[in-house]
Amino acid sequence: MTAPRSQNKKGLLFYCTRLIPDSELEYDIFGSGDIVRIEIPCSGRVGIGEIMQGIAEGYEKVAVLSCGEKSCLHGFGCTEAKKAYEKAIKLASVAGVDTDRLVFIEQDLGNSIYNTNGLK
Amino acid sequence: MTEQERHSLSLPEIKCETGMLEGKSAPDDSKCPVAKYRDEFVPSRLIDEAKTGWFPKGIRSCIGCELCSPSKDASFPMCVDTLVTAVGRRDEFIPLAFGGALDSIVSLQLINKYKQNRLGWIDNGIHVAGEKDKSDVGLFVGAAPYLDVLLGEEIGFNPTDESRAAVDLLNSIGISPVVLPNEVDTGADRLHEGDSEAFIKLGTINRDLYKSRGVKTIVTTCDDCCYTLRSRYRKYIPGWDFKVMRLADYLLKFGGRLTFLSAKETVAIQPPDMYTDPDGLDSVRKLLKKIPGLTIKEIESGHPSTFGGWGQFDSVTKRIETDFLKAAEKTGADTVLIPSTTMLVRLLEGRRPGSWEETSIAIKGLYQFLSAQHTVHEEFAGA
Repeated sequence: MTAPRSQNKKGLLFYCTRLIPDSELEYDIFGSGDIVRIEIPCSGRVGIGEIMQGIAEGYEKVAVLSCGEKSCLHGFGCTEAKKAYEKAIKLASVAGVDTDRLVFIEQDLGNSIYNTNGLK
Repeated sequence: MTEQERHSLSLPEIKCETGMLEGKSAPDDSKCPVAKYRDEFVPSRLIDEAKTGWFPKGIRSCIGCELCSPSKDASFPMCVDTLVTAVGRRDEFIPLAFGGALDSIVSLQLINKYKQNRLGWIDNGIHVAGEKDKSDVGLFVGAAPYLDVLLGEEIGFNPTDESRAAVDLLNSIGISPVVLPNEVDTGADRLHEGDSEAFIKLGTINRDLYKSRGVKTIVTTCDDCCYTLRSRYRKYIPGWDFKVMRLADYLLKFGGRLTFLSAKETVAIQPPDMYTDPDGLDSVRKLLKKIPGLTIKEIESGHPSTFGGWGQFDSVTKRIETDFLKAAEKTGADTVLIPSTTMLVRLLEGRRPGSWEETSIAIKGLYQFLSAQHTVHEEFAGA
């Protein structure tokens, strides 16, 4: 799994296949503009490499939409994705990249309220 | 141009400055650590394959350790560089370390518009040249600040600790080195991917940054960085006229007054080879001999002093690492001292505390060891 080249796209969204990102949430994260969506079997599959590649490819924002820790089908997906995201934040900070460009959202299934962790 | 033509090479294109392709000198296959585990990898056979005009794909498995090179003037890794850059970037899978995270950092550095925050490890206990100051000596830190983030928690060791120890040792001989706040990667991985354009751009950024700070000599705690800065940059980066030295070599040459506290310990070190010590200075042993009471044991020769810098995190390099540590254990020493940050990270990463591969011998960085042992000279202690 690699991040596609941005071609002036506004955002890159990795999302768990069990979730459907709605337009309202996407607007909250990316504002208006084109978004590339990548559906993945589990958010735990998103590693630090994919997140950093998204930034290096020129996306204005890279977001990971994950199931909540309790609702993850595999049990560890959300935890792993969070770890990758936290490391990516530190790495971006050392590289001098604005960390607001990285967003992590934990969404519990059946719950319409998003945990907008990291969302400005 | 067809796909087949694009991948084929002509002999003039791959003519290597080492003369290895003209058959004047051949690599010694029996010394190759990769050939021991990877049957299809035979350095001399890969050269023969290249002579037919086709890119020998297997050449990417070379870890660049120089063990098979017959002499300083006939270097097999340099020959690999020539072949890889002659073909350029190819659409084939090249494994990247940390899922490509470090490669993405290099991409960001190539954009050259971000102000890095890579000096967080410099504390009040050490002195580096101020941002506007000039100094003859520069310390190349490499990817250590990024490796701190990627591995620090997992392996219980921050690679920048070696950089800190390096500055401490340089301070003790009266030098406040230049440490560049916006230094970029050496680009050796990019060169090996065939992206010589990126490699030259990275080298040019580093060259300009060091020139602007008046640096004449660059020292480093990483042998892989040292090899690239000394051998590859000289070949590919115009105007690269810096003297590049391992910190151990520098300390041996200019650190005459460096004195150490005694240590009742037995340490194992690797014998010098062409990769780390082309001039045969044997500086690591000579420096350690200055420590009273220290017993130095030598690991049997034939083990590489690099495990490959371009994403070779495969079973073969893992077995080479294990062989190296077994040889170190065989010496009966308590600790093996590693003079190269990359090698140290690779060894510690594969053998985290509690893992089944935990070794009976402690693995330590040479410069941290020296830094902990050295005494402060009155002149520099402000006495």
